[in-house]
Parts: sequence; structure tokens; C-alpha cells
Amino acid sequence: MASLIRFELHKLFRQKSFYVCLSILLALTILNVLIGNQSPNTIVLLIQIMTNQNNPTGIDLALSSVNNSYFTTVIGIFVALFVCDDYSFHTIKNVIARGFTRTQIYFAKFIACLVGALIAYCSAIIVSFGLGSAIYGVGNITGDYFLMFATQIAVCFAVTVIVFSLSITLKSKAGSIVLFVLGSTFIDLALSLADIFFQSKEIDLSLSPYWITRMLADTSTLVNGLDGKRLAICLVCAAVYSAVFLTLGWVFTRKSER
Amino acid sequence: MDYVIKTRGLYKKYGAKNAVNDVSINVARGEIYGLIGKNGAGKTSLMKLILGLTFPTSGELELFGGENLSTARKKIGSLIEDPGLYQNRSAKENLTRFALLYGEDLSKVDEILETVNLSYTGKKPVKAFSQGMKQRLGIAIALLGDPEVLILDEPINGLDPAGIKEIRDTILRLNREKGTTFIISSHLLDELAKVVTTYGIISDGALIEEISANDIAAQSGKHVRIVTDSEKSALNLIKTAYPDVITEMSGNEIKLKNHLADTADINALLVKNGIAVYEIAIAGTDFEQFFINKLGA
Repeated sequence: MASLIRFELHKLFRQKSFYVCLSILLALTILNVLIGNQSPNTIVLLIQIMTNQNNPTGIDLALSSVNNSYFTTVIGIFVALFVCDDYSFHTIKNVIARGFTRTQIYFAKFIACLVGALIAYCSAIIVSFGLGSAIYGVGNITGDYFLMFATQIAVCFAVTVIVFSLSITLKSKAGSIVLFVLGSTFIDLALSLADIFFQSKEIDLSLSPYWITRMLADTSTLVNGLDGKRLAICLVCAAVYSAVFLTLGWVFTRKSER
Repeated sequence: MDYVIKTRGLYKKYGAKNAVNDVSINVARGEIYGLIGKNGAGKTSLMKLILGLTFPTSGELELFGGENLSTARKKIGSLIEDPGLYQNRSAKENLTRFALLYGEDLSKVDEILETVNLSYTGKKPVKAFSQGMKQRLGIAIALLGDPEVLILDEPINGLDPAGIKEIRDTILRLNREKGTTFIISSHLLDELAKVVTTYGIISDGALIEEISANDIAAQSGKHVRIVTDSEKSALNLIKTAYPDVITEMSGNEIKLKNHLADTADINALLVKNGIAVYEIAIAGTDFEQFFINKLGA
């Protein structure tokens, strides 16, 4: 198993698409910070409005750096390309035929994807914090921020697990990317419509807070202070999504290869 | 006998069709086992079952006398259908990746590239390789980790005559020097005849017959025809080296009814002992016709 993980990590760090995705992510992150207060549509202005500040701080920008569609899209693209490479090139038979079980392969790829996602996440945070601090100042860093970051990491891992299980089941780069991007958008819309419906019927139920997009948004700002209950819900949901999709991916992969 | 691969009643069903139909083969250590059959006969399917690339519908598979299959497969190298290669990477990068996976010493990568004559390719991506180059790289990957068994599915596909000879020489060298066991499938019967010691004849997923190369030679009338400058000395040398050899003299011509796979070694033996070999070839009844009759084509 150790050699298999080493093999997957070696591939990850030699994958051009990983560095391309990372570069795009960081470029968009930088753009967001730099032109933020010039454009009404950027996160910086949003932070200003939410925090009643004239300017956000480096730590606020770091916290909000993943609250956007391009972060999850970039993760989706990189994971799909990485996971499906072995299937599109048929190199997976060189791994299976040497005695590595499908379960070992599954978890080794999963670990490599998590490492890649963590690098992407940390890079976005660091760049946002560094650039934001240089422009606006660091801000007041409290322990609450670290709790938020920890919860964000859990949610980002859940995103990674979802796209990983889709990719390893479909074994198709294009199919996985399309299904993830369109599927996420569809789920967002469906949940929003459901919430509107419940509201119209005066039913005290809201589903959007339990989906990834809203969880990322809710863990991206401390404007109303730390909401421990909300953080706990996000952590539990992230754990449930991770467990469910990881299991489903494993089951469908084994079934498809019988 | 020490069997490295044994199957008992192996079945693989795809829908209504039995791709592998009650196959029981026995591959002894050190054998070069040739799988012969028409297209779609089930040769590749059988190899995939042995390697764990697909799962049997029923039946038993035993590797290395009953070892855990995952552990046992770490001692098996393979090349099945088209080589699995990272197309955008160089030959060296491909080998390096799999060397890391198989626990091979990375310093041996250059040596293996040299063995398959690909060290000149540098940073050229595999997608720019010819079919023969890709095949050689696939064989190089199969050789990583010094496997005890090599399973090669049509290994000489796309190779030119020089490349075919290289692969044949590599197979014979590994078998002789390291006792590596081979399972090889090929449509080129004459090429198989030069290396194989035992044949498994497969038709419609079923094993028709397992037969040694020597028995085929006896049944098919095939023999090794040797013409030298000193047939008596040559005959004595051959009988000393191969006590079970069946010989026949016809003028100055020596006919060997068995040991057809040993022509290269016999030639080397005679030359080493100062005998000029004017001719050494496999003659007699058409080898292909023998198999065609068996396969019922």
C-alpha cells in the first residue's frame, strides 16, 4: 500500500493539469483580491458590506477565498483528470495485474486527491491572506478563525470526495467534470426552489444550509460571530457526505468491474 | 512437479457466452507455455483471469502452490493487449513510475531501457512512439521487479524482424538464466515454435489439449534438420547433451524428432565444439496445419 500511495503522489506532482488548475485558482484568487473594491460583484465588496468595514482584512479575505464557484470547479476538474488518467490510458491494468487490490487502488487515489485538494486550499488561503494583508492589513486573528478554517477544510474534503467518487465510478474525464459541474448547479437550484416553496407554504424547513455551497458560504465570514451550532452542522454534513460518497464510489467501482 | 499456475474448471461468462469454458491448465516452473487459438478463442480472457483483471464466474485459480493471490501476483509481470502507457510521458518516466510502484531499484531503469533498446528516446512522449516501440516499453514494464512469471499476450505484435528476434532472445535468456516461467499467446506459430516448451490449445473458450513441444513434433512429423561437416561427431555431441533425443540419419543429414525448441542451443553446442554447421532448420509437416487440424478450422 505504501508503494501504491507513493506511486499516486508521484503522478500527482508530475501532473501538468494539477499545476495548471492550481495556477488558474491562484490567478483568480489574486484578481479577486486586487480588483475587489473596484467591482460590485466581488467578494471584497461583499465582505465590506457584511462586516460594515470600509476595507476587509487579510484574515477575512483568507477565510472567504474558497466561497466561490471557481474553487469547487477547479477542484472538480483536477480530481477528475487525475483519477481518470489511469483508466483512459489503460495503465490501471499494470497496477491490478501486479496484485494491488481494487480497494487499495481506490484509497491510494483518494489519498492523493485529498493531498492535491489540501494543497489547492492552503494555496488559496495563503495567497489571499498574504495579498490581502499587504493591501488592507492583517486584521485581528482570533481562535474563531481557526475553527472556521478547520470546518472549511472538512467541507472542501467533502467536495473532493464527491467528485472523486463520481470520477472513479464513471472513469471518464469529460463525463465526471460535466456531471459534477452541472450536478452541483442543479442541486443548488433545486434546493433553492425547494426552500422558496417551503417558505411560500410557511413550512419551517430549509434544505440549502445542508448543501456544500451554503456550507462554504457560512464558513467564509465571521460577521455575526462564531455560530457553533452552524459549524457543528457543517462538520457533520461534511462527514456524512464524505462517508456516503466514499462508500457509494467504492461499491459502484467494484460492481462495475465484476 | 512445481506448478506456478494451476486452474481448475475456470469459467468466465459474458452474457450468454462462455469466454472461458471449463479451462484447467497447469504451468510448471521454468516452462514456456504457449497459448494457441483463433481470434476470440479465449486466450486473452484466460490471461486476464490469471492476472485478476477480471473475475471468474466460477472455478479455481492457484498461483505458486496456493499463495495468497495478491501476494503471488506481485511476482508476475504481464503485457496484455495494448501496453498500458502514460502517453504524454517519456519512456523513462513511464518506467520510473512503475518502478516506484513495484519496488524496483530506480537505478535499474536506465539498464532496462537499454535492454529494450529505448534509451535513445530521451524526452519523446510515448504517443509519438511507433507500435513496436510501445510494445518494447510494455515488455520493459513487465520485466520490472524481476518477476518469476511473465504473461505476454501477443508480445511480438508490431515488431520488425530484428525486434522479434530481440524479444525471442530475451525470452530464451530469461528462461535459461533465471528460470523465468512464461505464458505467451501469439498467432505466429513459427515464432512460438522457436521458444515454447508446452502448448495449450484453446478453442471457443475451452482447452482442447495440453501438449508438449516434443510430442507435437513427434505427431506432426516435424524435425530438426542438421547438416554439418562431421555428422558422426555432431550426433555424439547431441546425444551426450540430450540423452532423450530421438535421431535419424539420412545420408549426411541428422534428423532430430524432438527438442525442436532447442535448435539455438544445439547450434551453439556444435559450433563451440568446432563443428561447422551448414544447415540447421525445422523441417517436415506444416506446423500450422497441425494446429489448424486441432482447432477444426
